[in-house]
Amino acid sequence: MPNALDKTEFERLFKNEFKGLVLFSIQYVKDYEAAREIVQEAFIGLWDKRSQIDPARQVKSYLSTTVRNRSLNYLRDNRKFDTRLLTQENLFPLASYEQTDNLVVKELQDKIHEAVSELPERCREVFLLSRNEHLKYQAIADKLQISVKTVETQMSKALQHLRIRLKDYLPSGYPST
Amino acid sequence: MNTNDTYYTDLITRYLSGEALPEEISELSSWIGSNPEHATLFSEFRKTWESITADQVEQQLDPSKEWEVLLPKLKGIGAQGTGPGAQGQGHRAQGTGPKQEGSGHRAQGSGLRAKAPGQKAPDIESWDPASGIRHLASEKEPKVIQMESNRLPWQVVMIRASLIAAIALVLLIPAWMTYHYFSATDMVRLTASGEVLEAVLPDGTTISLNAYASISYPENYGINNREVILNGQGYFEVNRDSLLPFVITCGSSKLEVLGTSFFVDAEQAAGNMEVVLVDGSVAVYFEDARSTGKTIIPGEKAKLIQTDQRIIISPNEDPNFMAWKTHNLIFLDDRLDMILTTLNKIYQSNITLANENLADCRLTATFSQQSLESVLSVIGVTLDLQSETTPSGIILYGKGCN
Repeated sequence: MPNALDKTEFERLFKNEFKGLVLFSIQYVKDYEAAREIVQEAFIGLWDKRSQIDPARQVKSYLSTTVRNRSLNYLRDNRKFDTRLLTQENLFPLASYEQTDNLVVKELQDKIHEAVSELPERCREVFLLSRNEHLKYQAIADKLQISVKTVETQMSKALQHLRIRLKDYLPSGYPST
Repeated sequence: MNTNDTYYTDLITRYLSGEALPEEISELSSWIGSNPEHATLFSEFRKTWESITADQVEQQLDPSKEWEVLLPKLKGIGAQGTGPGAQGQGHRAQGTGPKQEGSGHRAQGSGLRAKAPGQKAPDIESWDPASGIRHLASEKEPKVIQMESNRLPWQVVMIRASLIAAIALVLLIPAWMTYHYFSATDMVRLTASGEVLEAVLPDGTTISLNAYASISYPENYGINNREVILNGQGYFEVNRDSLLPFVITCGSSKLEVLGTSFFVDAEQAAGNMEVVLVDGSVAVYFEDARSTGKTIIPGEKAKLIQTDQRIIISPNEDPNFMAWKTHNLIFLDDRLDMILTTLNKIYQSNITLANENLADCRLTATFSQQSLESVLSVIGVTLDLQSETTPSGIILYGKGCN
């Protein structure tokens, strides 16, 4: 096939799409490291098959499809595949990658940071360890020498606060089918 | 509500942070399903979580660093551009009939004569791949399936197929039940007579209908819907349109895609739908029960049984499911009777065996867009068979393989 992706184009594609695809995968797998892994694997697969894919038309759909399928496989393999939940999350039967393509706008970003800074200290600490360091509840508990139950309570408190604070800034149009 | 009013907030948070166990996921799912207010609350939490995650990914992920991680894992990155995709041509055939060492008959010379009038058995050394079905072959570059030692051949078929994008095979039955569905508008109907019909739908979707297949769609197709009824076998390349899903209806069974390519095989008699996906994504569900729909993962097959509204998912084990269009065939140590079943379906022929022992013969071979005569000739040479053409079909004779 003519015009197969060369290294330069492949690198540009990778750098443009990586974040969006990780975010796409996280929506399914709820795990940052697993999502990174899935997207890396998808690009390795694309590289192997680049001679068979029309760069102009099929690359993005190949990537989003692969990421989506691998993410669903991950859920299935971990017995976390639940049709009703995924449907409620607009991830099933079909989800479009474009939905997550444009990341957070600046205004929302500021609001998120503001809302996080309002959290009580312990609560914020727990929340940031989970979000920024990608630690599991157990790992946070170990690190802060508190119980897993406390981590759970703090996490849910944080999310509850953020939900109320960000309500008016979040994109509407989240149809619950 | 649970007595502990943070119970479900905790559960939702656990779920969104990836901490929930399978049992907890089921519990959350039931809770959400039990009350629309629960669903709304969940959606709010989820939306909040999503934007926080997006923000965090945006800030933390450094694509340049990720690229450095990826680079060592890419094969042959030094050699730029050229893929491994050199496409060979032709076929290889190897008999593995009698299970004894060194037995592999090589296909050479011309053994079996398919007595089609005015046609002699083609020379093995010089197959003309285009001598297959011409109105198919002319449309695209010939695709050739070749076996590779480190891969299962049917995976090779799948990779080749992904050239076109996503492919699914569907058995849709019975289409007539769905005609009432569109009765409000005038329907456009396309029917293929004896051979494959190529057509472009108003939205740019291209379809190939196999012999005797037909497709119907409303006159306003492409404007406020993309819904079709298919009867028979078809191959679709659906133009992407994220606002208007492309839907194939069969009774209450539905197949839905936004933009992809797939094969469809619709039989009116039996009442069910079957989908085989090679790549891409296709959703299947029953009318009025969308939320219980399923999405097929490449390599899997979904069977929709209309009477009891069941969807069964299993691995696809037939590498030749799209051979009716490609005329690329692959047999891997397959029994001769199974091979003839496939050939009869693909070439709409009626080839039978003169005696039962022949059924046990096994053959490993690939064929690329060859005529039935070519295929039979290779099989004949490989398994030492003769053929006779009768008014009702072709009969194969031979000693059989022990």
